[in-house]
Amino acid sequence: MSRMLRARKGTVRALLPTRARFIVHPNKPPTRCYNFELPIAAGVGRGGESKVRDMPDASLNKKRPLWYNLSPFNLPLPGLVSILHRISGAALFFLLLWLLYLLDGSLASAERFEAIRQTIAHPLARLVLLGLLWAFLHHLCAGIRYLFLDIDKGVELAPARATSVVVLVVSLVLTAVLGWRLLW
Amino acid sequence: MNRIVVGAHYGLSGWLVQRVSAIVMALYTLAFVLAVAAAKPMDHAQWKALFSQGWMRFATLLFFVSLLLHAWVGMRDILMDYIKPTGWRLALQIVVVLVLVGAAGWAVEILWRT
Repeated sequence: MSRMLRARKGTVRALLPTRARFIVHPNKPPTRCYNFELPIAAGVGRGGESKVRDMPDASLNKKRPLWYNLSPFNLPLPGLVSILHRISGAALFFLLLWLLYLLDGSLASAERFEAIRQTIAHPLARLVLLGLLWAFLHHLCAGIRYLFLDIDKGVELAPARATSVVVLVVSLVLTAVLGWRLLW
Repeated sequence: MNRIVVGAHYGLSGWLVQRVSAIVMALYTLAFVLAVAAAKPMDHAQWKALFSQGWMRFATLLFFVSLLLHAWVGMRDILMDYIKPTGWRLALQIVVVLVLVGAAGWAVEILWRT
């Protein structure tokens, strides 16, 4: 793997919300780092290089590639829910003014109501609205999950994974059902 | 971290505001879906009538105020995580606050003009 690609993957790691970083490695050494020759304590991972250089054994001096796989779809499920929670929240913020514009027009007058109805009949507008509907529902479902985590419900590994699946599935199903009812 | 503890809130109020506003918005969402399902507004007059009711106007106002606070905490967290230069972070936080306050004002205008 090229040096550049490795640097980019390091950036992806830094982009994860703090919560996700903890969930990736609850209390384990970096299991997603497939480096079989260096002991963990010798400095595998971030900031370890200087320690490695001080070791007497020449074979430990060699810089070896680290194989982090940090694409969002390779995250553990709670991590995926977490990063999607952040992305959906940001998307809702960025399109808030457009949604307000639609609400404003729909309530202003019968003519503008019809104009807004024409606007959201456009396939592109429907696609964006469907995306926003998913963003809202995912943010809502994942948010409810976090409220339970706040009061220490479902923090064990198995229920945390199970509720992550529930959040992902329920928000997609609700998007399909409500999207069908509202937009078509 | 060599932080001297001198009695600021260290994010507790933001955390609490985020949770309380989330609950308000979740309850509003439920109420809104039920109200729309009950009224089945099909044209402008019915849609407008839905938002002209006193309780709906009040609940929607609570929703938008919660949205303002909730989105502020969330966007602030995002900016603190990804934007490292202090000047940029401050500038973007100001933009976020202005957009959100403007949006809340616009929402009030939409609701009370109706």
